[in-house]
Parts: sequence; structure tokens; C-alpha cells
Amino acid sequence: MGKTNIFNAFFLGVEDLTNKVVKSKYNPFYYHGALPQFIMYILFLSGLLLFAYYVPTVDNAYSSLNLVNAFTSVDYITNKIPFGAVIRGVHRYAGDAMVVAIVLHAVRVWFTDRFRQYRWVQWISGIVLLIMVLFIGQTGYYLIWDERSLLLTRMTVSAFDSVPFIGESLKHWFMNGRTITNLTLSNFLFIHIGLSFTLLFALWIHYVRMTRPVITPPPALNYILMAIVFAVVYMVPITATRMADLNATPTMMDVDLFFLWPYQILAAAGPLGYWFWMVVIFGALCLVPLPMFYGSKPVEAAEVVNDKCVGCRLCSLDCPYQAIEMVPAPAGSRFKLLATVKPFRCSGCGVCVGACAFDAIDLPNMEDAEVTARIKQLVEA
Amino acid sequence: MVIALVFAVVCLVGCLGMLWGELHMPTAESESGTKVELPHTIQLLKMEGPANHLVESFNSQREGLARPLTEKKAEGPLGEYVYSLMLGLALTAGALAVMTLGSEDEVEKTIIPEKK
Amino acid sequence: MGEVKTVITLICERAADLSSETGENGHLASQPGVKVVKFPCSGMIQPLMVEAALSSGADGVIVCGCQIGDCYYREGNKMIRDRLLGLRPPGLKKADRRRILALWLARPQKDRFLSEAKDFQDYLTQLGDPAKPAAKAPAKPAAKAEAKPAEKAEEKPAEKAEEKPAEKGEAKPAEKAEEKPAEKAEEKPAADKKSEEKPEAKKSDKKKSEEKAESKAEGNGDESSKKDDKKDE
Repeated sequence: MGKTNIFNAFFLGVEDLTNKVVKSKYNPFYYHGALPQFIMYILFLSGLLLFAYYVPTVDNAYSSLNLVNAFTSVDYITNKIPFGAVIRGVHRYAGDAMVVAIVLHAVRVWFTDRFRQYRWVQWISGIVLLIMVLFIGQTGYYLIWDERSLLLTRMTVSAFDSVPFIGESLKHWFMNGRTITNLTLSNFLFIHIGLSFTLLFALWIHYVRMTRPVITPPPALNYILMAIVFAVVYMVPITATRMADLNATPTMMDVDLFFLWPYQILAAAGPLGYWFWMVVIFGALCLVPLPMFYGSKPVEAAEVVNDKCVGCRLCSLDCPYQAIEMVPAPAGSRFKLLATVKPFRCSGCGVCVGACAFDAIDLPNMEDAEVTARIKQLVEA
Repeated sequence: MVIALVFAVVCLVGCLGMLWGELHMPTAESESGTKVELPHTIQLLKMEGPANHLVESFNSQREGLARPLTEKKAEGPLGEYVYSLMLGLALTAGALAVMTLGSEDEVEKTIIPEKK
Repeated sequence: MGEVKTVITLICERAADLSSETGENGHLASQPGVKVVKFPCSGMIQPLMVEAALSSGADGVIVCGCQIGDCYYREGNKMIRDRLLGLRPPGLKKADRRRILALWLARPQKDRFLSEAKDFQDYLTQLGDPAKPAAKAPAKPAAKAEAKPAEKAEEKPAEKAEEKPAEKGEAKPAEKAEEKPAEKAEEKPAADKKSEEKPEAKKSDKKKSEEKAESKAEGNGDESSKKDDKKDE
């Protein structure tokens, strides 16, 4: 199995070093899933503050002093609202941190072999979450409504247009009409905020097969994460850009690679090439848990000895993967509940065996009676 | 043990930085030269002199840190970015303090206490 | 004592990597007396298994899992830790808890495991033999010797006050000092009273209330309450 492969050994070595510096309670590698969750809270809060002053319109027919559109509202936030520039920076760099944290999370999950078989729901929902986060970030860049936003919007329209059969409808859905208007920008705002809340639903699916998921890093790590975001805000401050002009045709400029790397592909390979690469990349990622590529040992699920089960529920509560369900005991039983194992969720860890005081559940290849006999034999040997 | 000492020193530096940053907060918004409104208590305590002197020195310190920002053509009041950096340092110091001084329980070994 | 203490190690497959040290029969080559049983996850260890090991004659049991926070199966090490500490059912019933050590070590930490195992064996050597049920019978005739254990109990509160806040590791040299006279006394024929004092000498180092339970098991309900009175003075 993947227990001793070189990547796993790499992570174990790095984590061992980290444990020597900070206690394992504060080792950030052990919170690789909780860190993106915390960053999401930062994004929600900073996003809420920005949303309070944002105006989703595109009018710039009259470049008067009283012009109010998306770009001027963002400008207002940056220059006039106290700490508006900082909040804007926090929102942008927390977003980048989110992509980095998700990728590191995925890398650790992959290298430490925690995605197979019974964990496939987590992996696939994770890929879906990544796609959602990327799209949310991209709509965020459109919302500023500067030249880059206009360019990205046009590129996306051309990408959607090239999808066979449904391309035209997709394009019109995206622009909320036939051309870019105020409705387009309010659509972007809806996608940006609405999809962010949909993340919560997708996260539920990501967590549903785990009991007591670890979703909060210890406060010390949260402070350090915020500190890093603040430091980056200082080191890479928000710089001025130009308002979008629907009559002009801006060209490619420097892009934030964390979110906008698909646009590099789009610019390089054209719309069809873009879709090809997106499907290939994300399809390959989704196929990772397939057993045939890795030859992992099939899991032998735990089995309940129905006669001995008293329905105490300890195995069901302890199981880390929600694989044991308590069902009403059959008629004629002295007890009210009976444990049943859902074999496709079982990881073969044996926590249920450790929880059972009645010898009513066993791993098929390692029964606890055998183990106890072996222990006694070793003592006497 | 050495690591704990290093943490403690960084903590101390961070706490001082946090204090500096907090005192900076009223002046973060203003550009150098504009009059900062001091709280009324300062006038009551007749400490306007030292308070204004403090504000001036903060302004000059802030100029130093704000210079790289002007070179990068940052938008918005520069004092805010400086404040954000200071807050970052303070948060780091706080985190290191928590990690060093936090609970001392051994995480790699557990001894079962006697049953009562 | 010279005798090698038998320590059963219940370890999970992904914790400290002992495979290079373990022989065919589960014995550790570099640490005689330590015998290894492997589990897929430390969460599979039942407290019953720990008690079975102790009651069938092992001097001590080491339970070893991954670092807390890094269990491959997410929660196994936290489960067994909580079970051993009594925070989660099922728990330990009659085992001598001083003879159980729990370690949470990552795969590269084999050397740490070996050094902890060695220290544990030294500690077990000081503890002496596990109290077998037969040895508790002579407690009754020692009812006459009440005066002597009562006196000793008065000396002990002073040491107890020092030792309570200290960690077990630091308490060991103090125990050694106490137990050397106690152990010598064991060899004497008139040792019945004193051998009863020895287990009590050990116990007075630990929490007071625990003594009530164990003394009652030995049939010395009166004596323990007397001792408690002495301590309250």
C-alpha cells in the first residue's frame, strides 16, 4: 500500500521536524483541511464589508464627478472608507491564500494516502469545491470593472460561446442578456455571493462522511494566518487601474495566477483548447481515487455479531467514517437497537472493535479473541 | 528550551510593535502635516505638548515605512497599510506567545492517572 | 533486580516504525522483554486487551499510536487515549494504571519509542512485581501492626506534598529511596507486616482517595480510614 512511499515519507519527515519546534497541537500540517475553512470565514467577513459599499453598474457614458458605477464605488472604498484599502487587500490575498491552502490540502491528502476507497466522496467533493472557488475568484475580478475585468469578461464570453450545442445559451446566461450591461454586473455579483454561500452546501457534502471533522485550527494558527495576510497587504498594496470602457479593446495584462491561470490557457490555446485542457485536468483529478491505478488492498469491512450486540451505540458514535448505523433490533431481541456496518464506508480501522465491550463486532482478518490469545501467548513466551 | 526563549523574545518585540501600531491608529488616516484631533482628556491633563510631539514622531516613523508603498504606487491612505503590517506583527507575536506559554501537557506521552 | 521486565506493546501499523527491530516472534531485538502486537489502528485496542496482558503476567503495557492529530484513520489515537483516561467508555476496570504507558509517536520516531520503552522498563523494575491476588491475603494478620504503618504514614505526607506536583519522572528517584528500605524488608521473614507496608508506601505517593479503593480490596477498611485521619492532621 502507500504507507511507505517516498512522498508520504517526505511529509512525515517535515512534520516530525515541525513537531520538534512547535508541539503537535500547533502543527499546521495537521490542520491542512481546517485552514481553508478558516480562510473562508475571513473571505466572508471581508467580503461582507466590501459588499456594503459596492455598486454593480457599468455606466460611464458621462464621466462626471458624480458618476457612480462599480469602478467608482470600488475606488471610493479604497480611498475614502477608513481601512477600505486594507479590507480590499485582505479580501484579495485571503482569496489567493485560499487557493494555496486548498492545493496544499489536496497535496497532503494525496501524498499521505488519504483519498482511497471509503474516502472518495471527500475527494470528489473537494474537486468540485476547488472549481467553485476558482470561479468565485474569477467573478471577483470581474466585479472591479476595470480594464482587466472587461478583458476577462470578453474572454469568458468567447469561451462559453464555443461550447457545442449550449454555447449560445451559456453566453447569454453569463452576460444576462445579449451584451454587457448593468444586468451583467449584477449577475456577476449574484454569482460571486450566491456561489460563495453554495460553498457551504458543498462543504456539507465534503464533511458528511466524517464524524467530528476538524474544521477549526487552534487560535494561534489563525492569528498567524491573519498576520500573513496583513503582511502581504503591506508588501503588495492595491495599485490603481483604469475604468473599463466598453468601446475600447484592452489587451492582456499581468494577471493573478492563483485564480486566473485558466485565462492564460484560454489565451494560449483558444476556446476549444481551453475546454479540452479543463476537462482533462479536472477529469484526471476526479479519477485519482480509482483503485485500479494504485492497486490498493481492498478493505475488509467490520462485521457485527448480531447475537452479541446489545445496542449500546458506542461503535456507531466512535466510527470515524459514519460507517455504522443503529437500526431497530429484530423482533424477539432483548435489546432495542442493533448495529449494522455499511461496508463501502468502512475503512477497516477497528475503532469499533476497540469500542465494543461485548465482543460483538470484529474485523474479519483480525478477531479480537485471536489478538487477546496472541497477547497472552507473548507474555508467557 | 532555546526555542522557547526565541519565541519569548519575538513575543516581546511583537508586543512593543503592537503598542506602537495601536498608538498609530488615529494618525493612520491623516497625511503628515494635517492636524490630528486629540481626545479631550489630553487637554484636561494639559499634555498637549507631549501628545503632539508623539504624533509628530509617529508621522515621521510612518513616512519611513510608507516610502516603499509610494514607490509601488499604492492606492489609498498609506498609513493604513503600515497599520496592517503592524497588526500582522502583533498577531504573530500573540500566536507565538500562545504557543510557547500555552498548556504544558505532554502531547507525545500520556501517563494514566491513578483511579480515584 | 536484574530480571527483564516483560512489556507488551500494542502499536499501530503507522506509528513508530519498529519493523526493523521486531523479530519473527514479535520480540524487539534491541530491547529485551518488549514484545510487539500490531494493529491497523491504535483505536482498535480494547482496554480489555490491556487488562488481559497485565493479568496474564506482563509487567507493563505500552500503547502506541500516531501523533495526536495525525491518525491515518482520523480519530483512532484520540479514542484509545480517551478510553484509557476514563473519558470514554469502555474503560479500564481493575488494571494497575501505573503499568500502562501511552505514546503518540510518528513513524520516524523509532528511537524515541526505544528510549521511552527502556525508561518504562526501569520504572517497572522499581515498582516491583505486579501485586498478585495471593500476595494480598497476608494483609489480615497485619491488623496488629497497625501502629507501625500509621507511623510511616505520618512521615509520608511530608514527602507526598513534594511529590504530588512533580511529574512521575521526577517522583521515581524519591520512590527509589523509599522502596529500597522497603524492598530490603521484604526479604526478611518477619516481612509480612512490612510487605504490606510496601504496597502502601507506593500508594501514599499517589492520590489519597485511591487508597480507599485499594485498601478496601485488601480488607483493611479500618486502617485506611485511620490513615486518612492521620493525614488530615
